Amino acid sequence: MGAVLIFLIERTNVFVSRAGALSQMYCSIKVNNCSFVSKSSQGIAVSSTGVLTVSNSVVESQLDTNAGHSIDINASTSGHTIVNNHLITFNSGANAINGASTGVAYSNNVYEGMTTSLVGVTQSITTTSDTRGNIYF
Amino acid sequence: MPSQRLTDITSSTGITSNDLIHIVITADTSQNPAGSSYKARISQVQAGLSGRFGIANSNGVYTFYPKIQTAITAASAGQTVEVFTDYEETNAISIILKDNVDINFNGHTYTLNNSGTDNAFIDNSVVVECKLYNGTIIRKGSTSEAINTNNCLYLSEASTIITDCTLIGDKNVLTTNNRSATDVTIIGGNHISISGSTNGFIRLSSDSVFRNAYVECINSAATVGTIITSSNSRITNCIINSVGSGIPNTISATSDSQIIKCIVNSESTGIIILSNSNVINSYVTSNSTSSNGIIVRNNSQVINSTSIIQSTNASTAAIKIDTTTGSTIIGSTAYAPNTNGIRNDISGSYIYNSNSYGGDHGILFANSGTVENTSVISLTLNGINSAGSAGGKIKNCNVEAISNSSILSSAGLSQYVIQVNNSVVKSSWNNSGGHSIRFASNTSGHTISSCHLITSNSAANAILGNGTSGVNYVNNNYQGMTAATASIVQLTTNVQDTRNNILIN
Repeated sequence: MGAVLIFLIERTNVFVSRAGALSQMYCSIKVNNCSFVSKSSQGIAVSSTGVLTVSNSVVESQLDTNAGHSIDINASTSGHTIVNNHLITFNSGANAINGASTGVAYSNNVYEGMTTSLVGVTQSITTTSDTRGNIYF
Repeated sequence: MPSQRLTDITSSTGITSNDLIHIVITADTSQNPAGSSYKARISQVQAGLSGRFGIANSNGVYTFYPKIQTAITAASAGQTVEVFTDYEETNAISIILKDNVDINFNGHTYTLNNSGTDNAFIDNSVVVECKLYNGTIIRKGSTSEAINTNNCLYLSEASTIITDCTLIGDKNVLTTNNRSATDVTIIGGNHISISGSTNGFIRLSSDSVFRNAYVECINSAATVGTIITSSNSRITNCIINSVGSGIPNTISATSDSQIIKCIVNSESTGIIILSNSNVINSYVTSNSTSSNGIIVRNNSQVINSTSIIQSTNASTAAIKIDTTTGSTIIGSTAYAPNTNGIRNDISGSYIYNSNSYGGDHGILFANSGTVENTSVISLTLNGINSAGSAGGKIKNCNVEAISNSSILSSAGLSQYVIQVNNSVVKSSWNNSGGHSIRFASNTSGHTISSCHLITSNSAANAILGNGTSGVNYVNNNYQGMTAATASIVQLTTNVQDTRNNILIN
């Protein structure tokens, strides 16, 4: 059994002008209580088989094209979690979460700036929230 | 009868330096190959065997000199001139240092006491590397504060001096006037000015390095100056105590300079960095009732530093960003029990991972800025106040006001809106005015999402507007009030899906 590399990012603020605020290639990443802003790419871009977890964060893409997604998971993978975030795009044609037949548990997120929040994403949460907004998955 | 030995002879009294002794000069073989006999006065012997300044050869045998300049001139590279007595020079003389010739003061003091403008020690426009140690250099007797004059040490070339000694000036202490704009390095020592200098009693030229030193201004004066730097200078690991409420700042750093691991105790503004400069891992206190702790200007940064001030002036702050282009505060603590913790006057500024406590506002956004992952507490006014025409972005923060609304947006222009995400916003004021977030104007486009909004009085509101304040408020938790919102208009028409995701529009 091979080792599982997990990269943890907490309470970190990233503002970049020429690349994605976070680009994940070969490992799993957990992002908690962070703020990511990218001026010319996606806020978070995932292109490998690693697992992405983003919670309690603000992720913003200021790329004003329809590729300026807040979170882009360009892999047909599953097990990703995106909860309690504020996901912002500058371009209305971009998406809060853009996937490629990607399985994501996403809940309690706020989307801002786009017409279509989700593309290529499959909801992996099967339960629904109670009447107080709590949810178990 | 046994012969009388020298030790049997009664000791003489009343010997003076004019008395004579018999001496054999071994180098003079005119009388005998073993040497020639002469009489000599005792004073002649004293001059040959001792002196104020000396240089030891490889066998430890000293050659003595009456003047320190004579000794330095005679020294070869690698030798050390030693000082054997306190010495006061009253003539207008600057001692010229020599490359690779150190001076060991042996605990003694060298004083230049002259009413002119001479500096005590200089490199005389020649690059010098040497060490001045184990003693004191005093420059006194002149009242001139002119730049480049009356310093204990004045360097006009790219010299490197280890000043492991104490430098005391009536006014100026240390000046580097680097004409060729390459490195000048000053390491160590105590640098003390009796009454400060209008022009700064330590002046560092471009590309200078000043480190591991203690700096103090002893007396309170109207023109207290401390350290003033030119571009690309670095002040590291220094302790700077400045007494007096004079005009200059304790450290004034111009472009591309760094102040690293310094402790600054000031009675005026502690540090001002003018452009593209950094304050890193430093601690600043100011006892002034009217000054800022750290002033940050033009794309500069304050990183992992602490600023504590006692100012009661409402326009000041422990850390204040002002002038022209935005700056950044990262991982720092601002504490101002009688005014603002942090004040931002410049659009495009950022505050990350910091703590701010204000007797007035915790953070005052006099212009737009972003604050992330920061804890903010205010005692009397708002935790965060977006004043005037400014807006602000508040992400992942804890904001608490003890006796007011926690966040107040008083912006009057519609193009400036505030955004509050993923934050805990609390008013501890048990009063109907103790709102979590309040909009004082009817601006529109604000966003409040995924926040925990808390009040301590049931009659206060989580979000209070001014009648028609337009707000996207979604996925928030409200606690402590009867009516969560009042006098605002919900801008979001979409609703949550079954997992509480929502698109605001």
